[in-house]
Amino acid sequence: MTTLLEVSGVSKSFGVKVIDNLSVSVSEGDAVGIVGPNGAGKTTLLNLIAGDLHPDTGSITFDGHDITGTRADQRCRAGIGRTSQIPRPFEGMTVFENVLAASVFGAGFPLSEAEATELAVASLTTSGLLGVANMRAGQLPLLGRKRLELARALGTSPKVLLLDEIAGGLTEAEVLELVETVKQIHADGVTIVWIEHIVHALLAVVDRIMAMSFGVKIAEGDPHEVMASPEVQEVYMGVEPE
Amino acid sequence: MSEYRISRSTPESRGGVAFFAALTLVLFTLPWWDGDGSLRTPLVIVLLYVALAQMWNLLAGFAGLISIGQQMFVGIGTYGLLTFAEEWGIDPYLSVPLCGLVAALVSIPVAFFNFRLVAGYFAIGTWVSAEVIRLLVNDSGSLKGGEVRSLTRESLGGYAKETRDNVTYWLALALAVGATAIVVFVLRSRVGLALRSVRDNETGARGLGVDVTRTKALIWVIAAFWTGCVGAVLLLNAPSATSTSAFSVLSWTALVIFMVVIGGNGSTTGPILGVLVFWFLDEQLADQDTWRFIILGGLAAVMAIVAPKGLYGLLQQWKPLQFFPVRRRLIGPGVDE
Repeated sequence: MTTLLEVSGVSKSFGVKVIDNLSVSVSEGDAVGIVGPNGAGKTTLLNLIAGDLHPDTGSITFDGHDITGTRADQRCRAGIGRTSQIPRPFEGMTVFENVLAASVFGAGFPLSEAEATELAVASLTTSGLLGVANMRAGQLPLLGRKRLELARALGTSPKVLLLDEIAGGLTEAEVLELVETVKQIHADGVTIVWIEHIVHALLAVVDRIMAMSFGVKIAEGDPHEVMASPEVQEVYMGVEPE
Repeated sequence: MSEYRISRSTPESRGGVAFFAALTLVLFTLPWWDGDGSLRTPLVIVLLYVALAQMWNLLAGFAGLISIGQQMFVGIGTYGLLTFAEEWGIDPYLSVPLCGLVAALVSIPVAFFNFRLVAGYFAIGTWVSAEVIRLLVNDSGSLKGGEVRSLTRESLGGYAKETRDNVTYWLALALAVGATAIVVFVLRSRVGLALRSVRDNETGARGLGVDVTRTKALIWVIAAFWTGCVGAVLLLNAPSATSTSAFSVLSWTALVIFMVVIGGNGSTTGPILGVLVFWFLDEQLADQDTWRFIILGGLAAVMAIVAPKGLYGLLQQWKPLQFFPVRRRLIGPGVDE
């Protein structure tokens, strides 16, 4: 397995250290889960990988290139797709236009309008939003918004998909639906890095889990072993009632 | 072949485009049936304001670039024309696009400095830039912005007065229709998709691969070009200019903002509505002197609070009509509507 994403010795501080000398390696085809209590730095890590933030120290390589200094839009075109914990829909545009924008600008290779449409339709189909394609994105309920995040990320034809608490706030049935969708995306060959509090959703998809606390990695490995490890039990289960 | 396709037109957009095409044709023939020019004279200014309003709206309503410095491009157009036609003897009408080109060139370094600023700071920055350029023009020995300057008969190329008045009118019409067409074409294009996504959520747009700065810069330069052309035609229409009148923040930016706010920013029809409403109000208030601006300003403030999307926004609430075909609808199996 070739390494797709390599985070080496990355630190980020906002007055306090949010990420402290953290390294993680993701190979092509992996499905990695990231767990940790609130404030552990999970979303910050995702923002560093996606380019919304830049690390104070350390480097990030993707697909063989050092991308530490590149912008978010460049990383997207290079193949890093992401969903946000708080959905960022283009509310005045239709669901279809949202995903089309992702395909047109994010795919990283020039597409004709017909090709971009095809890619957008495929992403909408996978995410279960094809039926409401012409609805204003602002009118979508929460599940719809989460699905739109997914559809837009898929629309950029990512090599790696970064998911940030995509199951959070959904009903049990909705979570199960979403798990099936993510499974399918992974089966289609997309590498997955997934931050999630809902552990059973994570366990259904990922083959490795990294646990974080206060910006450092405290455990990494087989999902069940990591979740059962005393370090994780101590910091994670103690803080998170769910 | 995919079974999915994009449709942009709607029944009312077909009607809207047909209406505006017919209106353009009627306005084009005006010099032949408006014998004494009683309609032509006020229309030149109305049409030039439509062009200014469309461009300001493209910047502020779509690209999120709230510029209070558009007068710099008007002034550059005016002094460009004085230089090209008066000093260098180039045909005044051929000089108009050259003036736009100069404005576009100047807009690049202006963007270089101001694009580092966000929102309100950007607005102030553009205003400062406009003042700097006005002062340079004012103190320049060759541009002589401190004096009253006008185009002489020779530099106007010996065209008869009637011909000059008609050509100026047609240029104003071309700038108004062209500005509207530019906005429609930009919105229909990929750039429009990028603009609308940036307007709705800039971070989200970046995360989906949109090069936000490049998109905004492109719009900035297009608007500068067109505004520069308007500045040149304003001089063709006016007897004279000074750096104060050519670089007037009140005339070329503040009033334009009023029109766009009243008509509806972020739409294609709104700015046209705004210009017409402003003209109607201004006629009514012509003898009110200072009260004119107090009333207009108060109205803009009230509109901004009760109807932030302007008159067109109110119309949209009542019936979501789209007079220009810019939105994309997906058509194919499994898609509703």
